[in-house]
Amino acid sequence: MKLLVADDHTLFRDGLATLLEAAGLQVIGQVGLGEAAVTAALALRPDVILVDMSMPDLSGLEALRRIRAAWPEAQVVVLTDAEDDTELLDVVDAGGRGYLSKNLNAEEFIRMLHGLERGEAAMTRQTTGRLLNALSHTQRRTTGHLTEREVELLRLIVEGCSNRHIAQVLQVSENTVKYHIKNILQKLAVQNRTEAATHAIRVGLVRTGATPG
Amino acid sequence: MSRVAILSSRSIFTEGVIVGLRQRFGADSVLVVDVRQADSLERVLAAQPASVIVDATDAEIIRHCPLQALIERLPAVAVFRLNPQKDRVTVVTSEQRPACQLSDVIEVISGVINAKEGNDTNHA
Repeated sequence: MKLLVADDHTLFRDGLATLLEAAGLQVIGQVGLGEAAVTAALALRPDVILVDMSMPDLSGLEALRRIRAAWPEAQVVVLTDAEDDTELLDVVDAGGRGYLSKNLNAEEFIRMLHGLERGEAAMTRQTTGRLLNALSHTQRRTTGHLTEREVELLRLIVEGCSNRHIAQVLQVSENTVKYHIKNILQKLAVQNRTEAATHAIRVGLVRTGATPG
Repeated sequence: MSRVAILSSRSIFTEGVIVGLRQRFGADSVLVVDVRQADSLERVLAAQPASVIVDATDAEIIRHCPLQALIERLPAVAVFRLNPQKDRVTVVTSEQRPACQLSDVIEVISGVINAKEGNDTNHA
């Protein structure tokens, strides 16, 4: 397996490269900056690119995005000093093949790199658990677990209907409309009906262009 | 006898250092002690190494084997704290002197400063 290592801390990078080579892996390049990581990855085409999350010129995440944009098959694993759920989601969203702590046990680390050859993700079970939780939370935030009635009402809000019009369309009282709107705002974690409408359009909860009633 | 002991939680960086040390000094000269074991400090003490290496960023080491305990119980050892997040190695000597009064502290500091300035003059 041929690897490219990108980390601005030369001492860590050197230690990592020494470990990788002792494990029989081939380090074909080492760089200390994000831009250099992108350039080297595209020029050398390694099997795996190990990239530090924090680099002074370009974050590991941005380097990952640029590498994947130019070379969609690239296998990029992000290394981090401190794991973070938002960062983890961003890495997965950007097409990263792994997200590993720099304090990870070396044996486990090498095993996970070999796992990439079998199509596995380079991620500990704990991180996978956190990823699932984070995804589930994001999904809840996105859809808000709205009822069919609430989605229907939200569509009318997006269309710009007043509460009175909505009440007529749905054949309920205005108070019931207000009650539903209050629930929708809570579930979507937004402040007002405008934010709710914007959110609904952005995440595809409702389609625009439909006519009310 | 091991010349170098390295306290490790077998992390990526320390394992790389261990490979480098073994290449330089030979495998027999490098004692690797898993810091997560209850008797890790005792194992280092029993080996009586000339130097001990620790990863300053490894939380396991900080938790299980504090630096103070090492330098108190190994009077002649040099402790090397490696910091891969700062590209730095700090050498901590275990030299200890009695200091019951502030004047003792000033005397010790003064002695170290004078020794350093003497070295600087010699190298000028």
